[in-house]
Amino acid sequence: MDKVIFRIKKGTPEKWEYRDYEVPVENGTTILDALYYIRDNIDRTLSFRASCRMEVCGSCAVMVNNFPRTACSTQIKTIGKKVITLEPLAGYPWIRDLVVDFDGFFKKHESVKPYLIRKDNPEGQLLQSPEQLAKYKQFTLCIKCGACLAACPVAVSDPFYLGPAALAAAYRFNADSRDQGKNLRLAVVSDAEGCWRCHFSSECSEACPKDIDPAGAIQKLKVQAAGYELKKFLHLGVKE
Amino acid sequence: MAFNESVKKSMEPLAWLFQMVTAVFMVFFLGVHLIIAHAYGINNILFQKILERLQDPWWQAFYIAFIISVTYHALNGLRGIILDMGVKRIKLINIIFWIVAIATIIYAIWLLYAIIGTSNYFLT
Amino acid sequence: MSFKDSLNWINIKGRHLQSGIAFILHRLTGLVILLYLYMHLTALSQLLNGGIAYRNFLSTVESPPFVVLDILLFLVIFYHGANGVRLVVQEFGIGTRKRKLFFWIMMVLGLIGWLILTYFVVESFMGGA
Repeated sequence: MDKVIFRIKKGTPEKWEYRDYEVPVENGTTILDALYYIRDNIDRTLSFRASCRMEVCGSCAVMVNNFPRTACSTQIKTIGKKVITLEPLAGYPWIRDLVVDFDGFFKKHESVKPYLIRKDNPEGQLLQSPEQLAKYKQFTLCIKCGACLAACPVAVSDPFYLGPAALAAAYRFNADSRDQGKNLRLAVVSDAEGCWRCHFSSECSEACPKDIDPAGAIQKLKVQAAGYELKKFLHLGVKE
Repeated sequence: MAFNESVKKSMEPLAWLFQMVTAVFMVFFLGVHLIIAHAYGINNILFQKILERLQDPWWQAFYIAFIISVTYHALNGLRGIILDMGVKRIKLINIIFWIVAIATIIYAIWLLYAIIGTSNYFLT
Repeated sequence: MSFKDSLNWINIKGRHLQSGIAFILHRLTGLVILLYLYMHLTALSQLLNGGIAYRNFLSTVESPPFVVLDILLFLVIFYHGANGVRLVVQEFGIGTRKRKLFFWIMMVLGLIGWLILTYFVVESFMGGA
């Protein structure tokens, strides 16, 4: 059995240090397994967020060697390093150890109206073809782990930027054939702190554990938003 | 925070569109400029040659379009970098951007015609 | 968030070559070109001083150290241009999944363009000297 050193940023914003923990590793051992091993056997004060252990709940994203990953779905052997640094997610207010404050992240998410908006009150089912579903399906897979925001060079510098997750959620509903609130959402994301702060560094798409392409979604949102604003600018009559 | 406020009128989409359009223009402008001014040694940038070239209204139009594109593209890029750093005073930055951009464009076009003006006594 | 956080975008730790590092380089090269633009606009005012003053100015900037700096500046411009063409296409939402391939194709094209221009610059400089 191999041994791997975990160098974990431990403490609170006022007082912290990097502490080393040695963990036995087999094929298939995940970073989350290692975190539980440390808490059960070495240091019972270690704080981290986790729940489902199977890349569904989106709680356990941490910075693994300076890049955000979900701890549950990252196998230690695939990293191929003898020393692995774990830090709390970048760009979020740090609370302690590996725990960060997600309040701002969820507020940003909420602000883009991530739900179907209908002008009428339809009875029965709203039908959709497989082609219509395919347009947005990948974005429904988002587990809100927040890794994309921690990877984004703009989001870690600008706390007001909406960030990849919220913008991809806005695109997910804008691309949904059943939705009628496209312009309401565009009015939110077309703010100076919305999609215009994205310059396609595309680190969010590199980071996404569900292999979603938030960077692509933001660019498509930009085209939608530019078209909407251009029509408004030229007074072509845009309905809210 | 910005994302909770009600919808404001934003010029950002047009700023982005113009950034993309000037980017495409500049592949052409800067390409021509680099070839003309540098690929032939100093032959094309001798004093006489420059003054002769600037007599042509097409070249004047080329340089004016080039000046406007490059100034807008460069300064809007800088504005983007500043806004990406979490600066809250967006309005102030936009005003400074327009002042610097317009001043640069006026200076550069003035310079262009001042150079053309000298040809009256340098080109005979 | 403090002022230190505002510069987090420049940190290359954990960044990918075709994504975050390309982005940082794009900005830094853009800033270099912005600086050069204002130097260039200032230097052009030499033309107002007549042929003799301009010839003296030209003999300074057409010397080997300045030509080497020119060629390095062309590299900066070609990077910004090649990556910029990719960004214009991708910022319209085209081929965002193929960004890595697209990035390397543009890098190769940019490098070829730079080498061709450098060849002509060096050749005409040697011939004209």
